[in-house]
Amino acid sequence: MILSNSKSENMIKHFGVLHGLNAFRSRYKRTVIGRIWEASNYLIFVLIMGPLFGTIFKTDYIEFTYYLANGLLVWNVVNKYLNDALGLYVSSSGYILNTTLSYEHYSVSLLVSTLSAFSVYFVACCFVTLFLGKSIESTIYSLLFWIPLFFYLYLLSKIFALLAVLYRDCVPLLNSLLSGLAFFTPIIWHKEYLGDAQWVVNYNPIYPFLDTIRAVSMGGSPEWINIISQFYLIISALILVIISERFKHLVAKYL
Amino acid sequence: MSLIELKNVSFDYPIDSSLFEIFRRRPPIYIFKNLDLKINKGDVVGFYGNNGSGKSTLLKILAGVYQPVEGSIEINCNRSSFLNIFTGLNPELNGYDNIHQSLLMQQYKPEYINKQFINQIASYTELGEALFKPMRTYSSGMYIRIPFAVAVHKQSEVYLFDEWLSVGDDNFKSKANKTLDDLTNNSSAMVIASQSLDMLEKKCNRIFIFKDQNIEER
Repeated sequence: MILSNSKSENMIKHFGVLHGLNAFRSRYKRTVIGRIWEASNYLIFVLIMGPLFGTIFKTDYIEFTYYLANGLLVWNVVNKYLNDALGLYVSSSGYILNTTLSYEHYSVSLLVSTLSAFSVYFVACCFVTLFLGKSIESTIYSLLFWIPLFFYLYLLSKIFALLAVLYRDCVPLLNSLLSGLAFFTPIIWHKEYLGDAQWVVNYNPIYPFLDTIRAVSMGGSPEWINIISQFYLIISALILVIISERFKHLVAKYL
Repeated sequence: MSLIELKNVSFDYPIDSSLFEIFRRRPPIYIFKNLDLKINKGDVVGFYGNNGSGKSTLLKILAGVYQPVEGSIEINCNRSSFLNIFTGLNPELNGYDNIHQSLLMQQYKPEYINKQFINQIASYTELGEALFKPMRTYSSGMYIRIPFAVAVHKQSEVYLFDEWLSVGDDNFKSKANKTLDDLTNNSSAMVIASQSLDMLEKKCNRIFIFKDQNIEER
């Protein structure tokens, strides 16, 4: 027997990578439009709320929809990644309690499945950009600035996953904090609307990544202060991950 | 030198994992305490006890899933564990894709992750064209053949079983039993946790009884 029509022909040799791809692939397996469903919410939100809020805020609704599409792309990825991270070890308990796979595999699996979802969101964002009559050249160039964000989220996911297992209250607590952070992040509104209170946004741990990616994607240049903030946020997350390694052996026991 | 040696091993499960636990210091409730155990070459060890007696927990400590809270464990062999062979199967994927994923999950060496080896396991299952269909379409007898075939193709010195396996219809069952007997004969040691004392008496040369947080060799 030959593996003629098996997807295994690519022979991936890392469990986390294969598991992440399979998880994303099987999520929309028996649907008509398949992976496009991943972006449906995003497209509906941008194409309805963009013109609506653009009118409410009395701005050019095309420019506002463009701004919203780029901001929401970043937020959707952040929100999906961190929410999934909260259930990472719990949903992988079958593996954790019955195999000796390193926990790194589960983090990689989450990264790969989020990257798969991101690829669909990104194509949808390019579609909206073209639909609004803008060039997608800068949107594609902005991919470079996604790398620090994914690295940061990868580190945060390890901390979130561990906290969610050791202290079960952390799941609803961090979920609520994420919902709060959504309102606290300039996606629908501009930072300048806050007037003298603009400094508040500087304490948002997602904002430096969001503002950089959005600025580049819309043809602008990133601000140096945001690049430096990204560096400090990544180093802080890295230190937390190193500290959290001491408690990792408790995960199986607490599941 | 023993293949596996446990010295003064104790293990407890957390009662609660709420945020208040940070401030509360409750005495642990041990599953077992100060356990010593040596598994030597040629041992076929049976763990017998009721549900919740701790035999699966000890098996998971031997497998490396749990770390003992006290004591030490010395491992001088490579191990394969059959704790729950259904772990990691994705019903939406076909048989071949599940074999590929299971090989990685069972941590086969990268040189084994190739089409030839997957075909070898696939032909062992005798599932034919069904291997191209999603596993959700399989009967339970067909379903178990995939993880069983993946598990028994791994070469190890020590095998750890949580319950002895019984697989498929009569034809396949005799083939599976022969494979398991070959594994027993070719391995350095084996540990089987079960609630069937009859089966353990047939297969094992050492039996440990788990009762009231005590473990005694019979």
